[in-house]
Amino acid sequence: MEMLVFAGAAVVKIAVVMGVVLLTVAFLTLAERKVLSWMQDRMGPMEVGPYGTLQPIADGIKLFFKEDIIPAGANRFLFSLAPILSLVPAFIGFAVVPYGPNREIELFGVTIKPFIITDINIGILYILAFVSIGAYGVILGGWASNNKYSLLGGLRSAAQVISYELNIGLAIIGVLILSGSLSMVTIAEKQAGSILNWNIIGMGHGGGIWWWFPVTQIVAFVVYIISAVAETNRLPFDLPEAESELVAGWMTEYSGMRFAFFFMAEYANMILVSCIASVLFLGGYHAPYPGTRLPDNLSWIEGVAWFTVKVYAFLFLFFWLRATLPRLRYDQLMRFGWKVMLPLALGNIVITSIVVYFLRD
Amino acid sequence: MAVAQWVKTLTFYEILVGMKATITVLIQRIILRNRKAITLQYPHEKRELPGTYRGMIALLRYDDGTDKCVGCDLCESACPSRVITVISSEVEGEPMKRYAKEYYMDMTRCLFCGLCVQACPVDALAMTTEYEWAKYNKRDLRLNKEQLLALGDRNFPVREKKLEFQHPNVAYFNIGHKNLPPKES
Amino acid sequence: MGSLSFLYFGTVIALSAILVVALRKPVSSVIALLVMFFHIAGLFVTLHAEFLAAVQLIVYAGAILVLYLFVVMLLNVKEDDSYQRQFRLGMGLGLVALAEVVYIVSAAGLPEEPIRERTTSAAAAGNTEMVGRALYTTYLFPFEVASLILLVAMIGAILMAKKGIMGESK
Ligand code: SF4
Ligand code: SF4
Repeated sequence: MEMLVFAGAAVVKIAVVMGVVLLTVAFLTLAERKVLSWMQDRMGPMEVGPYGTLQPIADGIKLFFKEDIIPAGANRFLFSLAPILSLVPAFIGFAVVPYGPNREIELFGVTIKPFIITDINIGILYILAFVSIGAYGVILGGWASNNKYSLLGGLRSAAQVISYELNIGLAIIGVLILSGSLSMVTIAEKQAGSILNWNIIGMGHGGGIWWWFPVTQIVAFVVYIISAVAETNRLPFDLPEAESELVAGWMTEYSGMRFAFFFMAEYANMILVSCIASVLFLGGYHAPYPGTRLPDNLSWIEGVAWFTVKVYAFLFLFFWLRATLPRLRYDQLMRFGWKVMLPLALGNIVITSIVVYFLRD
Repeated sequence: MAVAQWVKTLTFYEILVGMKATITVLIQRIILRNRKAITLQYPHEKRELPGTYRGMIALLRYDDGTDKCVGCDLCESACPSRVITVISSEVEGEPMKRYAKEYYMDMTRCLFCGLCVQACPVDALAMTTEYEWAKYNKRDLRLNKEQLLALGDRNFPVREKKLEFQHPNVAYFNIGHKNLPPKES
Repeated sequence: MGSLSFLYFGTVIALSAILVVALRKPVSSVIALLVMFFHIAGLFVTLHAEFLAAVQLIVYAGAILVLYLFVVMLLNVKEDDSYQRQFRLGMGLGLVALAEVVYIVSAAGLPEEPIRERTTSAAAAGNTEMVGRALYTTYLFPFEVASLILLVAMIGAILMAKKGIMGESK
C-alpha cells in the first residue's frame, strides 16, 4: 500500500512536470517568434487564434501529419534513433530540479515532497551527464542523414558541445564549493535568506565574523550563461544549424515528427539550463527578500512563483540575445571557449576555494 | 585609453549597447505603444502600389472592342526571355491589315522587364498592377490571347480611340480598313 | 533484486563489449561502446556509487566517446578490415587476459555477503565525500602520479601538434 502511494505520487509529479514542460516548450516557440518580431519591428504569427496565440497547436498538427522522409542513403536505424537520443536526455534532467520549497506532506501515512520529483545526492552531475548524452542525437543524426550539410553540422556540434560542457562543469564548481553538496535541493536550501545569500552575490557563506564577506559567483554566472547558450546551440552560437551556411545543419534531412523531436529537445534544453541557472546562482525558489509575504501554509505559492519568474527571465534572455547578436565564426567560437571562458572558470575556482578556505571556520 | 578598452571588453559593453537597442524597440512596441510594425498582414492588408508597378502584362483593345495588336511580332523579338509567341495573319478580306491570330505569353519565364511594352508600336501591351497569380499548375500560367485581353479589360476600363481617330495623319496605317469614316479635311 | 540487476547489466556489458570489436562499421562499434558505458554506469548505481556513475557518463560517454565519433566521422571510414590482420595476436592476448581474470576470481573466491550490504555504509556517508577523501588521503600519491602523467601527455600532444603546424608553414 505504502509502495503504491509512493509510486502513484511519483507518477503524478512526473506527469505534472512533463505536462508543464511540454506546454512551456510549445508556447516558447510562439513566445520566441513574438519577442523576436517585437524587437525587429515585425508582428510575428498573427493568424491562428487571437494574435496568433494558438500557433503552436497549428504547428504541432502540421508536423504530426507531415510526411516522414528517410533519405535513400541514410542509415535507417541511427536516423530513427537520433531524435530519441536527443529528446529523452533533455527531459530526464527535470527529475532532480527543486521547483518549490522542500516541504513534506503526509498522504495515507506516506511522506511526500510535492515540489521535488527526487533528490539524488549527485543531482547536478546527473543533469550534466544526461545533457552530454544529448549531443549524440545531434552527432548521429548528422552522420546518419548521409548529407554533407548534416555531417558538418554534426561535427560542429560535437566540437562545440565538448568545449562548452567543460566550461559549464567548471563554472558550477564555485557554487558546489560554497554549498558543499552536489544535490540540487541542498544547493537551493543553502541560499535561503535574501538576495544577498544567493550564490551570485554569495554573502552568508563565510563563517564567524566574516559572514558579510561576499564570495561572489558573478564570473561563474556569466561563464555559465554564455556556455549554456553555446551548449543548447542557440544564437549566437548556433553554428551546428547555421541556416546561411548549412541549410539546417544536422536537421537538414529530418521532417515531420522526427524534426519535431529535435525541436522540442532544443527548447526543453533551454528550459533545463534556465532551471539550473536559477537554482545554482539565483537561489532557486527563494524570494529576494527575507522570509515570505504569504501565510506559512501558502508560502509555497510564493516559492514556485519566484522560481517560475527566474526561469522565464532566463528564457527571455535567450530570445533577447538571439535578437541582438550575430552568429560567431567557428574559430572565434573555439578561441572564446578555450582561451577566455576556460581560464575565467578556472580562476573563479581558485579564488573561491581560497576565500572559502580562509573565511570558513 | 587602454584601460577603458579593457573595462569595455570585460563588461561586454558593446553587447550591452546592442541589447539595449533591441529592448528599447520591444518596450516601444508593447509597453509604450508608440511604435508600429513596418510589416503588413498581407492577405488582410495590402500595400498601395504605385501606378508604375510592373505586374502582369495585358493586351489592350480600342474603344470599339477590336484589339490594338497588329501582329507585328516586335514584342516577341524584344523579349529577352522568349515569353511571347505571336502567330500573325491577315485580316480576312483586308490584305493590308494584320492582326495576331494567336498570342501566347508563358508568364513562368517573364521577368517583368517591360521591354515588350516599350517595343510595341501601337501600345497594345501594358503592365497591370496584378501580382496574385500563384497557380497549382504551371501550365495555367501560359496565357492565351483571350486571357491577356481579359486582363487588359479588367485593369484598363478606359480605352483609347482608334489611332486614326486620335490623329488623322496616322490613318495610312489602316488604308485597307473598310469602315473607315471619311477623313476630315 | 540486486543479483538480478547485476545479471542484466553484466550480460549487456559483456555482449556490447564483444560487439564493439566484432562489428564492422566503426560507427556501430561506437554505439555499442555507448551502450556499454551506460550499463557500466547502471552497475555503479546498483552499487550505490552514484558519483562514479555520473562521472562515468560525463567523462566517457559525454567527452571521450564523442571524440571517437568525431574522428570516425571526420575520416568517414565506411568499413575497416585492417584489424582482421591482427586477429591471431589479439586472440592470443585476449586469452591471456581471460586466464588472468579466471585465476584472480578463483584465487580470491566470490564474496559471501552481497556487495549491496557492504556499500550501504558508504552511501550513508555520501559517496562523493568518500571518493574525495580517499583520493586525497589514502591514494594521494597514485592520484598525483596519474595527474602528472596526464599533464605530460597533454604537453606532448600540444608539442606534436605545434610541430606539425610550424613545419607546414615553413
Ligand atoms: S516583360 Fe520582359 S520578359 Fe516579360 S514578356 Fe515583356 S519583354 Fe518579355
Ligand atoms: S503586341 Fe504590339 S509588338 Fe506585339 S505583336 Fe502586337 S502590335 Fe506587335
